[in-house]
Amino acid sequence: MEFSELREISGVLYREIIFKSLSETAVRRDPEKILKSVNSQMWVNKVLITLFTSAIPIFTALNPSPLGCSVFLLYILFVFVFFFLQIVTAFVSQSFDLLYTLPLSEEEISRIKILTFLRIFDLPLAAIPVVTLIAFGIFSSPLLAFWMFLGVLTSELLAVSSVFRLARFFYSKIAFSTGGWKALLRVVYMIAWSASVFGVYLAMGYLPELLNVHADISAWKFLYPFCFGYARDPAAIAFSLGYFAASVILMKRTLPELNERIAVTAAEARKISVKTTHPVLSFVKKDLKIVSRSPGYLVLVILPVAEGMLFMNPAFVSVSMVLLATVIVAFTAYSIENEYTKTLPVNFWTITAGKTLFILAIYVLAVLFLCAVRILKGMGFSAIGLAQIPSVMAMGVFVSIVQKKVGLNRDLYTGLTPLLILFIPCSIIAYTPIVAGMILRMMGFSFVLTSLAFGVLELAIVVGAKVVADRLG
Amino acid sequence: MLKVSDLTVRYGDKVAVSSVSFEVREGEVFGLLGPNGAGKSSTIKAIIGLVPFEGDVKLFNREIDVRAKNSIGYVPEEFMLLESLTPREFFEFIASVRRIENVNDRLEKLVKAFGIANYFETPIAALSMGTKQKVSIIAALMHSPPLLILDEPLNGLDAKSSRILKEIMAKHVENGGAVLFSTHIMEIAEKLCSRIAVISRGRIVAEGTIEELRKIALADGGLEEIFLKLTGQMEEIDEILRVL
Repeated sequence: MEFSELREISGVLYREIIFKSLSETAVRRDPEKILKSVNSQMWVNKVLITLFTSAIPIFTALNPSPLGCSVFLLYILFVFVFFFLQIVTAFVSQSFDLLYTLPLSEEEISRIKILTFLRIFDLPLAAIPVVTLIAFGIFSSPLLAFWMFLGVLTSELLAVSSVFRLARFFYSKIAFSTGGWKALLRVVYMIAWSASVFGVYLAMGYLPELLNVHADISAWKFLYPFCFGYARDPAAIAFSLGYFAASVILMKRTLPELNERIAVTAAEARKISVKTTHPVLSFVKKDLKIVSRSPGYLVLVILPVAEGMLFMNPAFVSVSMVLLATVIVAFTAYSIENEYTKTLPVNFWTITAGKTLFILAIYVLAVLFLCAVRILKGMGFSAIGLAQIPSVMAMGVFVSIVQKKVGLNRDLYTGLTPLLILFIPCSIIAYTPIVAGMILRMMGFSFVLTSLAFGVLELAIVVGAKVVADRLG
Repeated sequence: MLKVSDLTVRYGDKVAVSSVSFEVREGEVFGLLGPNGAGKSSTIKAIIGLVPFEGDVKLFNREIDVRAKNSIGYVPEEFMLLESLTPREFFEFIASVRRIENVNDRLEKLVKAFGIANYFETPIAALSMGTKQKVSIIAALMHSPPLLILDEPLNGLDAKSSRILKEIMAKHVENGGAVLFSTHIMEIAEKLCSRIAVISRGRIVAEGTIEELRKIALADGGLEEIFLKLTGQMEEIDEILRVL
């Protein structure tokens, strides 16, 4: 089959995947409108990712030290792994089953799969090497520009192949296994999977510091991606070419594996019984199970810790970062629900309590983890994070009200509307107590108690507003 | 038991269901019969609260609020399962939300009746279409609701499970329950339903027992003939066959 024909088929599947992800999350929109918005929604996402990522090579090119170049390449690797993880599920699920019923060879199917995948990220994947080439070409030297271009390609190839391999292994061996050591293995694997999130922060926050301390270690220049930073060192050049070749080979070997369809074996039940719990807890339990089986969701669960670790000191900055990630967690929590929930006898407050508990659990775990790290690093205990609990609860209730009213149970990756309707008000709810605490501290009041009081006030306002609105009909 | 009055469902500018009215009484299987895209599923989705609608829907003379949903067992036409969960985890969630007491005895009977014991710990995503349908049916029957709303429930079921479900429906109405049953398969509707509403292009074109429909359609054959006459498809078929 001609390349143009394969590309045409990949275009149909691309629209199907995006349509499915939009229609699963849209509540009151009709399919025709969703279909019409598929292209615009995806372009918005592509442009945002590209703008977000393209700034880094420009800044790096302005001051192109070996260290800065290495950090940039590592950042590109982790950022692409992070974005790829959000969509990779569709590629190991049944979305491509149709292809196996058509007269297509296995090689053609794997090509279609990879073309579909590349279509989703074509703009950032193509733009970042080009931006790198131009930025380094203008601000640095043509040699370094070419070298960094090669480095970016290597990072992109490694990101694509490693995500596909991880996804295949995860969905075939771990994701759906239940009980005993397999459950533990799943958690360990999910944490390892989520390393990409930490990787982005590590690359941005800690690596420069780490590399500066150990700048004299010559072994760095033999390792990916650091070798690409040493464009004038023959050994580093040889290793860089080696890594580029290895990434191409890895990609070529990954392609045929895309065709191996995943089979999950049946597990016989020992006893047909279920343990019922309170409806609120059943929502939390269910959400935790779903999250633990979806790398895309788990990344968001780990995000608060990763954000908080970026700036550990002062404590309120760390807490502010955790809150920022919790805002994303808050409205992602609702995208877990599907229409079935609407058929159940579950009232607004039950689902709100369940979701708020879920959001709160993630927030509190992140704060406690950061408290432990602070204590271990000798920075002392800070109660600022715990004082924000009421405002996090207020945020949970607010998202629930908006979700119920507007029917918005969409995640961050499906357009700008949820971003505007939820992200901005949620951020205001999250940050008001901290800002109030900072202002009133200057007047001699306790930061912790002030922000706690403001959080309680927010919670009372949000809950009160809902109760009054319900009574007024 | 269930009274639907002047129900209208719109998807944007398109009217999918227009002023539909019918009643499902205790002790009967009420069939909603119509060709593909006639508005059967939209009607059912409106009743269950999945799509916004105009009109009036009452269960036991009360609007269907959150609490009333415990009186309904619903099998959707398309799966609405939480696919990363196993059937056990899914049933556990449903039983908890519905606050079903002593659920295990009934659940064990249903799981064994539909033969899914071997898949009880397997993720729903990995199950076949028929097994997913069985999970959906068990979830609707677990709490023994007085009203069953079954949207094409026999889709994908094997002969044994299909028979079991039909028997369950018969027993359910015998015990005073009611079933709102949507299908496009004439033989099944003819065999199972006490009364039938024929829906075409979003409107009910006729309603009654098979005998009553026969009189309305001026037909003396089976339900298929009645249906085709009522929906105006008889002439269409004649024309198509003539061309072929």
